[in-house]
Amino acid sequence: MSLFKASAISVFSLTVGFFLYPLLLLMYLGWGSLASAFATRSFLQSLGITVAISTLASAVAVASGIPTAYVLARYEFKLKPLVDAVLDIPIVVPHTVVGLMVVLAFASYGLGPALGELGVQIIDALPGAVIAVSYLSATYAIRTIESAVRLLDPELENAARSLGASPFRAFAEVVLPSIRGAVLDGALLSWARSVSEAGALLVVAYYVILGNSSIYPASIYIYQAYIGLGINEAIKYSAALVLFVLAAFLAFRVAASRVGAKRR
Amino acid sequence: MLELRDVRAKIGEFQLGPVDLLDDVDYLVIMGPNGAGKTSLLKVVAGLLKAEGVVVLDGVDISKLPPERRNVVYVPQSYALFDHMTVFSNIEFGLRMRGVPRNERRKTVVEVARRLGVEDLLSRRPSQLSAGQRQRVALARALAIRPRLLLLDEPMASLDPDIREAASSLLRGLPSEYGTSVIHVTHDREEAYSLGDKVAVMYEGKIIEAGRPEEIFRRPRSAVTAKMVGLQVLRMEDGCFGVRPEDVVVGSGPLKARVLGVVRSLRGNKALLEIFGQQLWAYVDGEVGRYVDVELRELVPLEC
Repeated sequence: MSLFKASAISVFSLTVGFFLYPLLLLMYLGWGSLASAFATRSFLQSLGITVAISTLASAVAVASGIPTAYVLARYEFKLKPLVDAVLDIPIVVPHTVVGLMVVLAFASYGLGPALGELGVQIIDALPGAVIAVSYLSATYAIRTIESAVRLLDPELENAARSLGASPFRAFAEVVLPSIRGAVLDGALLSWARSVSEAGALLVVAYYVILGNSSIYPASIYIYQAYIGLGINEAIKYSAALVLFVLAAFLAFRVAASRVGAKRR
Repeated sequence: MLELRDVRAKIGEFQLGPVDLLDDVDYLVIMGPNGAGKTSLLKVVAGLLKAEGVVVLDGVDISKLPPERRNVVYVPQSYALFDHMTVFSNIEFGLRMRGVPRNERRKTVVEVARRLGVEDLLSRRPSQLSAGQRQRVALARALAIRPRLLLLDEPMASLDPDIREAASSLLRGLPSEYGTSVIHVTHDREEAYSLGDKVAVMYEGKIIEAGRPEEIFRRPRSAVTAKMVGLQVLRMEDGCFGVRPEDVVVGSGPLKARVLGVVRSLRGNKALLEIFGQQLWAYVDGEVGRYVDVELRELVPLEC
């Protein structure tokens, strides 16, 4: 084996190990208490609210991300570099700051009073949690879809237009089906990013009030367990959350590939 | 009949036009080097690129119509087949966009596919086709809607040499078989000569010469056209002249030339000669010395 190949494989192994080691250790330590975690009603509620927040945020990310990604990939305009930078804000700015921004923009100032009059609650409420998490996760969907649109031959749309398709039909019948894999990937990425969010939720929705219940999002539930009950409880729920997310990921991938295979 | 009047467009730094062109033939070939603006001109005619000026098709000003209402079909160099659809759905696409009923669509697709020899491919995906099959499917998709004008951008560029002749014959027959005029863009002079009823030469965004292929190829007016059709351009005191390699006779004649090198070609050895401080190619038989006598037969006067 050449020195180059050996070096590359060594670094590769170290990197994979760096990612796997803490995860495997967590699963090893938490494995015995997984059944107990999944039998805890408050944890299941917390998983449920997390899935609801993440799924809604993912839907928002994809619905707004497809047209945004298309504009970024297909059109040139003067302020494009600025818009590009703005869309990366969620990656650059600390998430607690994003949480504060959401509180200011949608609860305290700006749109806040109007939303309040309409009865839309932001702080410690589902809409606030979804807005905060959408703000943070949409970038992942936009960038994934944008790359796919960039790789798509613009002549496909030209051909469709000259064959009689309006711009909307060319988009719906030619562009969208051609980038469906990237749209699914973007949805999954933004969903996963939303599940793992804690910083913004600490500020906007430490718990979500639903009816008479106050439910912690899963990330905050685990944080609460860690500071209130100790590391062993945190390990239990963390291992359960990781297992749940990996299972959801796997199920989504399998479903997506089956849909793809059927269409082929 | 297509008429372009003072058509101009700005594409980034590139300026297309002004272009004035009367296409009064069944098969027009626009020939030019890469970057001449040929594809851009096709897109202007198709309505895919915004431009100033007037585009008149069969007496109707279509300049302001969107692409989907022009009845002009553009077939890109890549053929732009929709990979997520079967060949059948690709051919059916234009008919579906026009709201043609399902039964009629099926009949038309099968008929066009049969005429273009792709009826056995209808259930396949474009990714499963050869380049020649892809070209036929792209043509079938375009012809299914019976366009008034068909715009072909380098349609032979991705074809292997062994199927080019068959493809040429197919393309040449389109106007008579389908009642559609064709504008075909290429940088290949043989393609232009063999297919066009008329050839327009494009350079730096403008049509610099247009006429019957025999005129353009035998008597080009400009030095740019002369180079495009295979003439070598000599700049002399009394003007510019074009000369073909076969009209540079080596072995006798009043001129002396220095031999810079000899290469093999399919038609025999070719020598690179230096005459009047300029370089010319000539066919030679056998070995040649360092200096040779040369005669230039049939010089074509050019504007340069």
